[in-house]
Amino acid sequence: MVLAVPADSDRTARAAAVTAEFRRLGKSGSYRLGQLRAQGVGAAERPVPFQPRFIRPNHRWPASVWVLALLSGSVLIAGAAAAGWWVAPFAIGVLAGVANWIGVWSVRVAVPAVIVMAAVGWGEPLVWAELHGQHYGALARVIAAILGLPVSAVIGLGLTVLVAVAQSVAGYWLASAVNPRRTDALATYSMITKDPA
Amino acid sequence: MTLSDTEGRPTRVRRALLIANVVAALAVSAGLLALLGAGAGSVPALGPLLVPGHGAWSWQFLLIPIGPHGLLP
Repeated sequence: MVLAVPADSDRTARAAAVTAEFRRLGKSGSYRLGQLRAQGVGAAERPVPFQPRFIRPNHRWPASVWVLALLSGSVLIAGAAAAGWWVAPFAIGVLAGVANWIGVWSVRVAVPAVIVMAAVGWGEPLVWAELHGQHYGALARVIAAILGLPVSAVIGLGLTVLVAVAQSVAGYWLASAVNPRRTDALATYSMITKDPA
Repeated sequence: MTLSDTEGRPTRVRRALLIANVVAALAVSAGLLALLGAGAGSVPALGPLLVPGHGAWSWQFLLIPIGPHGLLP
């Protein structure tokens, strides 16, 4: 303990100072924290809580490769639709689920990506045809009317996209269920590496 | 509820959840494909009907005569 007593003071004064120091011990306001900073003692850093993640940060390949794979999936779905294969979104969804067993993207990333892939795969040919003067907007209204829905091009187009999205999500779910992730192993990996990402 | 033991092997609860997930995914997928492929009741087979470039998305669809029991062929 360092006492605020000069070394060259006489014996009586030093004893009185020591007594005063002991009387201050345990009393509120005796030692203000501001004095510690003035003496060069910095405040202790607050510990950062460790948050274990159950997703492996390594997705095997760069994100650009996965984006390219999603675009390829959309092209495959669109090409299969041109050939009349309406189950193609389901098959591509299954492939996406198998691929994500390798990539280990989280569900919050993978499912929206699969949804966008399927929506683009079936929506893009229709929008492209509309932009090139095929009047698919009018046909979408006819489809909505035939199905007994409110006459709207958005509803006709949305129902078509919904059919593709439902298939792809079901296929992704099936593949993910058959090939479950080893979450325990991934958690162990994350805890060992202490990767906060 | 623990899903794995100390050696990382899935417990019985986790195995049951995995099997239930597979069964549910199979049932939903089969039901969805059957519904889209064959229809059910008043719901038409939306799969071949709505595939872009074919079915209802072909202009020839408008030339199909309307039947007495509904608008769909």
